[in-house]
Order: sequence, then C-alpha cells, then structure tokens
Amino acid sequence: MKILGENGIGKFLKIFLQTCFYGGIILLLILPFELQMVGLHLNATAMVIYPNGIALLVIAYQFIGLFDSLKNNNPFCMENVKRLKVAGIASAVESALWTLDLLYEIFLVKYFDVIIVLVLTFMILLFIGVSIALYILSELMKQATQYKEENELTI
Amino acid sequence: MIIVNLDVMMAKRKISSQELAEKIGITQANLSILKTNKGKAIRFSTLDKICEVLECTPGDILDYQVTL
Repeated sequence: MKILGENGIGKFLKIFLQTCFYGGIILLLILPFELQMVGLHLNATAMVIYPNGIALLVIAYQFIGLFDSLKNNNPFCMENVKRLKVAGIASAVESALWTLDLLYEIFLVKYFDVIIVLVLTFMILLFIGVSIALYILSELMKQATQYKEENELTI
Repeated sequence: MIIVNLDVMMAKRKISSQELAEKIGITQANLSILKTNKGKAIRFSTLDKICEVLECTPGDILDYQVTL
C-alpha cells in the first residue's frame, strides 16, 4: 500500500484521526451528561478526564497535520519536527496527569484497588514511552529535514 | 561566510542567466539560488563548468566574508 500521496495510507489515517479528534471534542463536551447516564457525578476523579482528553486531542491534532503532510508528499519539513515535539510534550503531560491521578487515588482517596493501580501505572509508563519515542523521532526528523534541505540546495 | 560573486563575473563576461544555465547544464532556478547566495553547497563538477564557461578561477566566483 502506498504511504505517500493522495491515495496513500496518510489520507486514511488523517480521516480516522479527524473522526477521533472531533468525536473526542463532542465526548468531552457531553461528559457530565454521560456520567449522569451511568449514575456518576463529575467529581475530582472524573475531572482528570478533561485535561487528559485535551492532551490527547492535542496529540491527535498534531498527527492530523503530520498525516496531511504525508498526503501532500512533503513529510520532511520543519513543521513536522515541531508537531512531533508538541505531541511528545502533550504525551509527557498526559503521563504526569496519570501520575497525579494515581497519587490522588492512593494517598487522598485512600482507595487501593490493584487493577486500578496496575492500569494507571501502565498508562503512566505507556505515555512516558510515547513521549520519549516522539522526542527521538522529532530529533531524527530534524536531522533528516536538514539533510534534505542541504541536498536540495546543493547545486 | 562564503559569498558567491557569480553575477559580477557574469556581468564582466556579458552573459545572461539563461545562457549560462544552458551552458553549464543546470536550471535557471538553481542558478538563481547560487547567485542569491541561498545555496548550501556547490558540486566541484558545477564549479568546474562555471569556470570553464566564464573563463575564470573559483577564486573569482567565491569569496569569504567574516560573519559578525
């Protein structure tokens, strides 16, 4: 399957991410009603969903731009370096928020459920990993873009 | 930084950008990049052709200026 170009995989991934992005906005907007429907209230634990959701939306938005550049056959540009860096920072923020949530559950609520702790720990490690991977990718992209520009401007 | 004085040499030899580009086998857009000092590097083969066509040495085309 083609990766670059108008009918490449970038186009489909962009459409998928756009659906996730706008769906995510709607889900965040109607969150209090969703909680009410399942008999919950918007308490401190549920409130963590908002910053987490916003961080995820930031990541999705950056990747929409990234896949858009794949569609336009121009993946090696400084905008993509910035996009990967922003997504990496958002991922680190996400990890920090999950850490705060874990600490809140253990020390303030004093609610210790092994499954919840395991899930939260997994999320923390996952987003730390994603953040480091995105930072490394942004540095690689920066180097590749510089090489590309140098090659293009060698007459 | 390295300064390309190609336009000075071209004026001395009374040769147009189009003619020079055709003779050295590069596009006018690339020649413009060279003339406007936007290029990052120049191949020896390109420099060789420029010198051959303009009957000059690399020193006549390239100059060094201290960056402040």
